[in-house]
Amino acid sequence: MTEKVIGIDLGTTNSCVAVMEGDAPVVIPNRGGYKTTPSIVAVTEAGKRLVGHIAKRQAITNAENTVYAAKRLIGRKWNSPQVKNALMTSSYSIVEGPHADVRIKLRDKTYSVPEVSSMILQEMRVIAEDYLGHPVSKAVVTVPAYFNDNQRQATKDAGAIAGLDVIRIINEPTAASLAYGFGKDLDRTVAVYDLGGGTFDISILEIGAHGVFKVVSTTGDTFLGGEDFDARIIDWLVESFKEEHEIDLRQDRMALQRLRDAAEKAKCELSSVKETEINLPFIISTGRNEALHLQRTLTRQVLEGLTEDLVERTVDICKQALDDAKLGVDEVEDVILVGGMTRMPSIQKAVTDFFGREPSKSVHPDEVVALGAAIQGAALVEDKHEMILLDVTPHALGIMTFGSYFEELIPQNTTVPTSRTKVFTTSRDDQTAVKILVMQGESKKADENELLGEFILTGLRRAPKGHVEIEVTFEINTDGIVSVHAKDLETGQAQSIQVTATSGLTQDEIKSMMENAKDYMVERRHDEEFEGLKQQAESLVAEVERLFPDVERVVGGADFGRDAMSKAKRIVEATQAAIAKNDTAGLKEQVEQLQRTERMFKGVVARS
Amino acid sequence: MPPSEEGQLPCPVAGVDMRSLPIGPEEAFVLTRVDGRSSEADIAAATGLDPGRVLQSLRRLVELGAVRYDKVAPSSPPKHERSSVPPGVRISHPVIETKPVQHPDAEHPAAALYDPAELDEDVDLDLPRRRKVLDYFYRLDTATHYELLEVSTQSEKKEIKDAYFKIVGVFHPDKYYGKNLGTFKTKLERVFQRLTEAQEVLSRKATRDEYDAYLESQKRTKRLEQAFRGQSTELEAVRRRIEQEARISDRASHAPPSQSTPPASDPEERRRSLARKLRGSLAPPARNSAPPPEVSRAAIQEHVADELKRRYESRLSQARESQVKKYIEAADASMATRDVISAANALRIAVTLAPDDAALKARFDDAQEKASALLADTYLEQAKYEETNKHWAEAAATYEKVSRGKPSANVFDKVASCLYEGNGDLRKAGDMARKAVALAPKSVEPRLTLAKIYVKAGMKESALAEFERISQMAPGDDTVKDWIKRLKRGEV
Repeated sequence: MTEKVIGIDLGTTNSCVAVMEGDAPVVIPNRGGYKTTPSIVAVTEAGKRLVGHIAKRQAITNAENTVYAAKRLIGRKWNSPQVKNALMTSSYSIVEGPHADVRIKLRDKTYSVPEVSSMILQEMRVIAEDYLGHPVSKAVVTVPAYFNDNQRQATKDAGAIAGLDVIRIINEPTAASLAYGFGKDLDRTVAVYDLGGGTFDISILEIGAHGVFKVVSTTGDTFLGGEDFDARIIDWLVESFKEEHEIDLRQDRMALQRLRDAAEKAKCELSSVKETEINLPFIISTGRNEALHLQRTLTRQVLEGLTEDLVERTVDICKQALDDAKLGVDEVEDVILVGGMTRMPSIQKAVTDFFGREPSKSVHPDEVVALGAAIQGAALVEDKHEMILLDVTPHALGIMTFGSYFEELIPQNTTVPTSRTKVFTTSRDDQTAVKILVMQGESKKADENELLGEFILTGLRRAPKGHVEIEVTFEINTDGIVSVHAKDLETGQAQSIQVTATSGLTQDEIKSMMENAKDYMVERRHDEEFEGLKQQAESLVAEVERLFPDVERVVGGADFGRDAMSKAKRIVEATQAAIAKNDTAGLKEQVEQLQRTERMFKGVVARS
Repeated sequence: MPPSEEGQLPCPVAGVDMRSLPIGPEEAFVLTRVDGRSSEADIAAATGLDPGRVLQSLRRLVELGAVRYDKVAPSSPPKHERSSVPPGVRISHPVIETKPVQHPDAEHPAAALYDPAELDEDVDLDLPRRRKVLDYFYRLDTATHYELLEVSTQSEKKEIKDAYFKIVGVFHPDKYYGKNLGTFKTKLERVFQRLTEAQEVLSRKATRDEYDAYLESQKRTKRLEQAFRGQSTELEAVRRRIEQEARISDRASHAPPSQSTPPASDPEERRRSLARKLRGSLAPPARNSAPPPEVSRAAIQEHVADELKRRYESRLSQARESQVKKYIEAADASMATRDVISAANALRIAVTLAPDDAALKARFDDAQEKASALLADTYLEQAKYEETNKHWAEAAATYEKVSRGKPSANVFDKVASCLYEGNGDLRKAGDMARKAVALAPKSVEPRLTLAKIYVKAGMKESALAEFERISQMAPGDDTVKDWIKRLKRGEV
């Protein structure tokens, strides 16, 4: 049997993992029974790593060492406006990394963003392994459709660090459409409106015969999501508090974390009720040690007023997607809502008004993306599924030309995989290297686009200028990831390309982070084993101790009875010692001894 | 048709685009040597190929409808002649060959285009799949979007989408995840890209209309090109026809000239003939004696031949005049229907037959100019389409054709900039840009193109000089200033 491939929706606020069971994908619940896991990572005072619900629960008391929404930072450069924004609002500390990238400081250690994401991926992998009962090494991971190459590459790196072979990166709205239409033999044009915790995507797809899903256009905003809605509520609370008490709650990280929690909770509640109470007693103490409380009533109407422009922005982006697809709004035959934010009534109304139809109710907004990823994973490795996904590149790919202009080579919304070749010639005699700056974006000006990398063609043969022609192939693969190859046209020789990472991680860094992650997993598995043995030992000890008086009563008079009892006492002591020393092997031995003693004790008591 | 049939020679079939045929290099080579005048043996000699292989290639070309066997032209005058139009002029009203080319192997239309050894590559694809990939891959340059998707030019959007969705499963790399595809990987991707382009172009009305117009104009120019190319063969045929006509009328009124013709009986005439023959070359006769019988006989024959030749030539010139007249009439008829191309073609033949007629020459020049302009307009449409779709090499070639009919600064500039964009021949691009600059020295565009070409060719000094000239002409242009700044700093 081919190894199962899991599908992971690595979300900004929540993540979800699914797998194909037979012909249908299923979401795998975590140990707590929840189908989604918060994308939150924390490091405790003791240096212990926490991921998911457990990390979320301690976020308020450990705000500085709890990372949420790391996805908003992945693949971003230190000097990008999005990072500046995050610096202002995050409760954890963000620092500059060695490649002008972003690092996160938790306790005394700094982590790269892919490393933080890898911790979440690792958690999702463990959830799947526990459920399937065997190790998992392959995954399809989803990203927002509007992610650029740097962000995709960083996500793939996160997978590698987590020890996962990410066999495919797919776009979230596309994954949702797979879950919506897989195996249903549909023939229609659909729009996927995906407003998640941190990003917004809209994709227009044609679903047709032979299991083909073809994306016609995709666009979005990688910095527009539920977090921004929460921020509006936080602003509103902070401002009113300032007016009342002249105290800025933002200065207190714990207060800010409590506000964040309360804002998210209020937002969710207002999807079903018209008004809700925000009650945060002892939010802060004044200089005179006087405790202040925050208590406000938020109505749905006020919330809608606070976030109206955000909703409008998504509608404008929808218009853009239809324009790009050269389709009229009446040509869209169904609308799929994805992401927790689409539960908000004002968003549902805006989507209904814009598309002129009620959105489909057939998919679960939190789970559909992971389900789609699982479908894609199965379709790749198993031949039996008739399904082809034709996705597009969300950004134009090009190079910087003379005069800082952007020369487009592959336009936006080109179906991938795709490639384009361009011939470069030398401009000096005996020139041995050519530098090419590869970028992604829609602006004519190079510096307004995202620089993906500097490619330096080296070791060119020496010849008069213009005599060396190098054919460079720019390729975007099915992951939406860019690669570049070069060939000397005359000699047919492949040219070496030196890639300087402009952000993200080097191969060596990834390797060392992978080792760390592996060590952590060994340690974690070991801890888990010890934890299990400890529980088992403790309950055995309790049972043995409970039986002690009875056993003493029955055989206490006999020599062999006294021997057995002192032996049992020694075993209990040894067990406690093993627990104290964190000695897994020793504990394992004692557990076996305890089991034998318990059996014997029970036998003695039963015979009496 | 048995190739060896008496009196029949392989002739090219008009209207067949050689590049669209599923043939190999050998057949193509043979096809280029088929001219309607060479026998199989001639072709074998000309190509240096084994006669057996020439026959084999010809047989296949016949099957494909690219070659037919015809009676040798002079001995079989065309039967259906309309009185006002000379026979050969029919080519001037060209009709594209509508008979579909018959593929011997309809399932593998490109089988002859590639080396069968390519099928032997060790990859995880079964043979039918490999064959299918190659069949598509090797037709990418010649097949239209419609042909690749196997839809008719009338197909609805829905049919096109279904056809694409059906075929795309064969060529999408995901279908072969984890499999060893070798060189088939890039082939699959190329085909996939092209099929996708085809579907996208054909499923939007605007792009489809553009593409249809492009195909239509390509068809039209191809026809016109063929009409132009058909000239030399047609002229050849007309010449033969004229000769033949002269000979036929000769045969009708006189006994054909032959070696066995009895010598003329009049002795005076014989003498005169002899004298004519000997005058100048030999010493004048010393005596007025009778010539020796041998000499006399040859002289008589000579005389008869001369006489026949004179008569033949006069008939020839009559036949020629009548052909010229016919062609002029045909040109008039074409002009009346505004068919400038046909008129120009007819006049060209007329001018070649009567090279001394100045008035005729002037008429031809005029028609020729109009025809070229017309052709240029059609090419211009094509070139624009190719340019907007970034098919730079094609666009440069087509603009160059436009420049032949309607030379202008703009068109030369277009040739240059398309060559520049498509990384084509920079020297030629430079020549074209300079022509554009010469024609419109005061406009900025061609100079900008030229300057950029200089930069690309590494000619910094020339580039700088040109940019500085532009900067004087358009002082407000920051881009140009930027170029100059960077050139001076050596940042190129």
